[in-house]
This record gives sequence, structure tokens and C-alpha cells, in this order.
Amino acid sequence: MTVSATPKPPGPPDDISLIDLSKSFGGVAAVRDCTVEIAAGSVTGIVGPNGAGKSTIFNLMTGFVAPDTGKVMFRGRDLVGSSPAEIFRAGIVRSFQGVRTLTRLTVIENLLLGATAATALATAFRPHRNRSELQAAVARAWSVLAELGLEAAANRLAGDLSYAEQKLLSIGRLIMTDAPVVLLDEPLGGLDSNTIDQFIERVRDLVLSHGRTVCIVEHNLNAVRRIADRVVFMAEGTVKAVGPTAEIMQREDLARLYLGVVPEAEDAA
Amino acid sequence: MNFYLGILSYAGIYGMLAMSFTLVHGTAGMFTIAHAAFFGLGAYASAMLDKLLPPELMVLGMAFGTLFAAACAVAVAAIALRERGQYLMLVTFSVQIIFSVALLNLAFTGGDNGVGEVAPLQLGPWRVKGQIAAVLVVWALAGGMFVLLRYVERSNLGRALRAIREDEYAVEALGADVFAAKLFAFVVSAALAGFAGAVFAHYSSYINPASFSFEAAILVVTISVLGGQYSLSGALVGAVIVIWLPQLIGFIGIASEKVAAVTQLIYAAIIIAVLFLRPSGIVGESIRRFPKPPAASPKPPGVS
Repeated sequence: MTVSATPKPPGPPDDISLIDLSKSFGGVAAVRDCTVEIAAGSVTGIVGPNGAGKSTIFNLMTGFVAPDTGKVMFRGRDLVGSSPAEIFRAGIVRSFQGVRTLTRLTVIENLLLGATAATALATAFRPHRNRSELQAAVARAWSVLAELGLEAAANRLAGDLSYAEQKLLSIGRLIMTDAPVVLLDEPLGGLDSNTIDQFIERVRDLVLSHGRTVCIVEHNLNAVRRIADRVVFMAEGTVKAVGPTAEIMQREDLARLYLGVVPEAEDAA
Repeated sequence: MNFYLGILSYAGIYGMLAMSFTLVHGTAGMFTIAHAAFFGLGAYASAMLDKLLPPELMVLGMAFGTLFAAACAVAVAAIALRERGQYLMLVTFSVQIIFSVALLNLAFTGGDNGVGEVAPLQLGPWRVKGQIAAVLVVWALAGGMFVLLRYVERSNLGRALRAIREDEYAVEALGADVFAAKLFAFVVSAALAGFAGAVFAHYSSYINPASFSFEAAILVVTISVLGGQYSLSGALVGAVIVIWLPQLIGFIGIASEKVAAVTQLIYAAIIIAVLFLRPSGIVGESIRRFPKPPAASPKPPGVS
């Protein structure tokens, strides 16, 4: 492998390093001195009680909130200070809590945005590029629709989908982006176990087939156990523990921090 | 002067104005109330420059009116788009009021007398003579604007703007430069409103502040809401109906000095009634379908 000819820098390029990130809102520290390494090609679960700072970490990583101090290093660059659009172009895409479906666009239009939103303005004055990008995106969108089982709904308004379908659609939108790093913010909230299984499969696909790095904030610890290679445990804005999923999930001190009690049934399982 | 042809010409001009509003409000979801001001900036700039230009170069004056409205829109956007949400409406509301008051009081724009003896429409050496020719020219221009805006609406940018209307943070997370996209919609919309204003000035041959007042701003909203706020053809349909309306009111025997007040009442009633009964207006949003590509598309890796 040549080094200089490839667009990506050499070394372990797609690891993300959060270094000493801190953010306070009105004197309350949401995140304090967080240092986390996220390995490329892995699934990292971020767990912890409400208010632990998990979603804030995502906001800091994606430019929606600026940290007070600290760095987010990715591909040799500090992303702090970049806009969400710039961070997307750098290769990191996120989902939000809830579904955030664009309800008055069709299902397929929601998917097309994943592939065309970032270049929409640049292609506005170039009809040919606009057209060719759109055609490629439409072809891909149809295969993603097939993956998600939403082909029949392609040209229906996304707002008419069920909640679970909208959740799947939000994953489809992320698949369409081609971003190497995908941050999922509580993607399983409000889903039944069948849909959760389907969802976990899609997330596995993302990593195994599409070769992405996934970071997932989730309260469903069972699902995290099934998806994540590593777990970052947060509480009160700080990282309390990082390690392989099985190891972290067995620690009683963390379970106590999370729930206030030791969940015996979970230990037995 | 044929009465209906006159109405039809004005409907075409206001149709252009309403279509420009559709881009910024219907497509991009930015509620701005200064469209009568941008309409007026285009009209005054074009009419006043026209006094200095030979008639053959009228298009230059109209182009200047268009660009002048666009330049003013950039200045407004620099203030209004820095914050999200209702801020834009407040700023544009202020701009509209300031513009109306300034027009009434500035000496060089003729105060409330406005600008008279604006040369009639002329495209290069060809003078538009007669009402039928005027109707055709106005509607050809409206048709051109329709085609242009239709292209924008159906482009990747148009889809991104509709998505911004729904949830701008979600679109921003997908890499769209939301500020630039909104700036584009706002400025292009204002430029087209300015162009409609330039056509208005030359068609009317006389302009005064009344045509660009806050009432006129409400008129634009009324046309858009009635015809279909998400639809370009709706803007044209709404323009024909709403421009005809005051004349209809005149016909039903209301004293002429009361027509203006009654018209305002009816506009308000139309807006409220449409928003309650049929929020999308007469013509709904046209949603583009994307059929499955016929050829077996190459499957991306990972499709089982």
C-alpha cells in the first residue's frame, strides 16, 4: 500500500480521540475532562444514567455544541470549532434522539438527502452534476429501501410511516451518507423487541459490510451487549470506565452507579 | 383599455411576486414579510434608473432593479439569518415598515407622489404596444420564472431546502450548509421579487408607496396561502383570483371609498379560512416520484 497516493492519512487514520473535553451549561458541568479513544471499525457503546453527558458528547463531536476546552481529533485534525456541515464532510454523521423524520418529504427523498444534502448547493448551478448525483443516489436509495424492507413505501410521505419504520428510515439515511463514522443517539428508544432485532442487524451491517465505525448511546443495555465491542461508561459528566463490553457490563460498582441497585437477574443471565 | 386584460397583466406580475415568495417560504420554510419591500426596491431602482437610460437599454435598468433588491436582501440576511427561528420574521417585518415609511418621506423617491412617467415596457428595440402584447410579455416572463423556480425546486438544493423547512438540524447533520442554503433562497427570492417590481413599474408607468406598503406585503401572503403556499402554480392561480377580487367587490355595489378596507378584511378572512380548512391551499405541494430504476442497479456491498 502506498501512503502518499491514498487520500487518507497513514497510520490508524479513522480512530477518534476525544481529549479532555469539558462543557458546562450555566455553571453545571455536563461533561468534564472526558478522554476517550474510539477505534476505527468498532462499535462503541456509551452508557450511563440520564444526565451523564452522553448526548452532550455527541453534540461536542459533531459541532452542534462547542466545548469549553478539549479536542476532538480525527484523521489528524482537531474538529473543535468546525461547523456540523464541515464535520460531516470530515466523515462523521450522527442521528438524533427521537426519529427526526422529514415528514413532508417522501421516504425515498429522506434517503436521497443522505447522499445529496452536502453537495446540494454546489450542484445547484451544474445541472449535469446535479442529475448524475441524483441518478446514482436514486439507484442506491432503492437498494437501501430493499435492505430496510421499505420498498413499497418509497414514494409515500415519510410522516405516514409507523414509528418503527421511521426509525429504520433514519438508519437508512445514515447508510446513504457513506460517512465512515456513525453516531447513533438512543436509536432503540420506543421500539419493540422485533424491531430492535432488525435494528441491531442493520447496525451490524453498517460495521461489517459497510465498514463503518459506530458509536451508540443507548439505554437498552441488552442491545448494547449484543452490538458493542467496547463500552464507555459515563456518569455525572465523566468517564467512569472503558473496556470490553462483557467486562464493563459485569462490574457491580457501575451497575450500582447506573441503577442504584445490583440487578441480580441481569447478573445471572 | 380592456379591463380584464389589465387584471390579467397585473395577475402575472403578482404571480411572479408570489412565486418568489414560494421559494423562500413554501420551499425553504422561512417566513418573511418584506416581499412588498423587495418588490418596491426593484420597482423604484428600475424606474429611477430608467430616467437616465435610453429606452433601448430598459433591460439594464430592470436588471439593476433585480440586483439592487438582491443586494439589499444580502444586507437584511446578514442580520436576520444569524439567529434561527422567528427572528427572521421580526427583522423582515421591521424592514418592511422602515421601507414604507422611508418611501413616504424621502424626497428623492418622490415622497407619496412616487415616480411618474416611467417608460412603458420595452425589450431592446421592441416596444410592447397594446394590452394583448403586454399580457403576453408579462406571462412569458412569469412562465420563464416558473421554469427557473421549478428547476430549483426539483434540484438537490430544492429537496435540501424542503428538508430545512422540516428540520434544519437534521439536514445540517447530513452535511448541508444550512446558512448558505437559506441565504441562497432568501436572496434569490428577493431578487425575483425585485424583478417583478421592475416589470410592475414599467407596466404601470407610475409607482407610489401604496403599492409597496405593509398591506401589499399581506397581499403577497394572501395570494400564496390561497393558491397554495407550497406550489408555484398555486402562486399563479392565487394571483389571478386575488387580483381580481377588489374588482369583484366593486361590482357587488360597495362604495368605492370602502373597497380598500373591505378588501383587507377579505384577505384576512381568506388567510384564516384557508389555513383552517385546507392549509395547503388550492394547489398542493407537488411531490416528485422516484420510480425504481428499470435496469438492475449494481448492488452496493452488503446487500443480502
